[in-house]
Amino acid sequence: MGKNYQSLKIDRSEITPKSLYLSRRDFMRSAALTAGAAALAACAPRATESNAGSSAPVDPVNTYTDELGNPANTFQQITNYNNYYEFTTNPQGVARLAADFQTSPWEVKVYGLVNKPKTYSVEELNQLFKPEERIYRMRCVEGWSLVIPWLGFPLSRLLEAVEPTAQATHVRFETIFAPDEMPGMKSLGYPWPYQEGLRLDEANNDLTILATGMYGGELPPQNGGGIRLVVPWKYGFKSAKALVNIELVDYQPDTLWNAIAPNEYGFYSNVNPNVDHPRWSQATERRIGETDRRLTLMFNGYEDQVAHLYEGMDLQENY
Amino acid sequence: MDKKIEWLRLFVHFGAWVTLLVLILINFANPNSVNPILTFEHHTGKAALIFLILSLAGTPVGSILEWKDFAKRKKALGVYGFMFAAVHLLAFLWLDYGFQFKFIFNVVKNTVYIWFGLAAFLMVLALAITSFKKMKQLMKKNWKRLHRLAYVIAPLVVIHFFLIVKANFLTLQGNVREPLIYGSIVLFLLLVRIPIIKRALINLRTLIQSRTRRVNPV
Ligand code: HEM
Repeated sequence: MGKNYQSLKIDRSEITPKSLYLSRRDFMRSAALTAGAAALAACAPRATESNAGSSAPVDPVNTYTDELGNPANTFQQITNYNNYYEFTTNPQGVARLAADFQTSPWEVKVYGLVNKPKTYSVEELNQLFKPEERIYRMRCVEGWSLVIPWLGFPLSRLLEAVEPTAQATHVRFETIFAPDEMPGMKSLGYPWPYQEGLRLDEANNDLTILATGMYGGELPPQNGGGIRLVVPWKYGFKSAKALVNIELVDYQPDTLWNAIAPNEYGFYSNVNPNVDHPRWSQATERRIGETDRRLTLMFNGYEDQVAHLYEGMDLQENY
Repeated sequence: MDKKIEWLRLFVHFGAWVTLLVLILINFANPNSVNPILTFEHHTGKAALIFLILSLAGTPVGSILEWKDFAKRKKALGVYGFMFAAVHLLAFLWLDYGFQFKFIFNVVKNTVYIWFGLAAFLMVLALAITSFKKMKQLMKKNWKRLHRLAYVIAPLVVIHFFLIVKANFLTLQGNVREPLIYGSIVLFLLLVRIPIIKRALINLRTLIQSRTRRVNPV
């Protein structure tokens, strides 16, 4: 563990799921919590044949937990609350506006500093790389989080197939530009299309996946279908949705939020409870469906897998 | 008293309480409300701002548009603005942070927009507790002075709003639309208090009225 992570205030040995909550009596069980549980029974999604990377569980409540034992959020919660500014800035309005967005057929072009550039269809990718279930925490920069059972494959496998050249240092991701289908893209003040970027070693980390499904089924349009990036140790906006271009480059790519507010949204944007957003605290978060806040974990709880990527870097500066 | 005045008065009281009830129901008794606490914070904050803006509109609507009945409701509208601000603050302290003051202190310390929210809230509180007739009589000239804070509160809330959204207000990039709309309304309501602008608008109103009267003699 690098020096810069020593400032972590929580003793890792104390991290048991219980101690993650800010202790308080459950005096306000939100109605939505119980209602959400009821909805879960109704919404337990079926696995579709095309995406049957793993067999569909009978009881999602018991089967879908992350490696820390956190139960996954319900399908209803995951598909009805998220940020997708291409559609709307209202997280509750995305599902309705994205309902008719065509995610199939979908193609993504992989090019740039590679020996074998290629345009892949999502079906082709699913056949080649056999999506597996990855149950990841997703921490939004706004202070809320979800646990999501993605179906996806490591980005490293796709990169391996296109063979990055020795010059490639970073990966640039670009979302579809479709203002006619995505009403939010008509609003001024955003340098559309959405762009994101990773360092090549971040992209090759086994946690980094391209997701083509969720909850054993297809990837719903509001969650980034046809295909999206998922980088679970970074704030949610790094996980770009509806990808059409993946380019290997030899520079640090511009990202949409960094272009808008460079002092607030850095290139790295790793989840870090000790580095606040300039305008608000990042120390705690609310897991959707829960009443109490939780302490936000260093690298969103993936410290063991990713801390080495930032060895020797000042994380206050490289926010 | 005139019957019409009573209707408007009823409408204000009814509107405020129904709004509060609806905001509670759509967030906490609705299975499709996925993030009810944060959404309720947003809803009550916006309701507070809207009622404070309506209250601020009272005087110019009375003098420029000559809708005196509306001007008489500005006190009630302001007190309801305070009510929503208090519910908003309570949602933050109780629902969001469970009165965990260790965390609340940390959040308040590190969150710039809360400083502006708190400043606005303390001022609204001061106006609300001095809004009784007795207080007005007791405080005499000081009452008027204190209640000029109304001109400060709305801009503070607009700054509070500006600082929450993911945006860059120097380049007008990001999620700027809503705070800009509310900010422009507040700015307009403050500008129309400047005598020249006020007089110009009154002249405009009488001009329009005389024109329409000529076409449509009553
Ligand atoms: C007169 C007093 C206040 C008014 C009128 C007000 C108004 C608002 C408005 C308009 C919003 C944005 C709603 C939206 O984005 O849709 C907001 C958000 C918020 N306000 Fe206030 N506010 C006031 C005081 C306070 C105080 C005293 C606190 C806390 C101590 C506070 C905490 C918050 C929080 C936590 C949010 C949500 C921020 C987020 O998105 O994470 N406000 N408020």
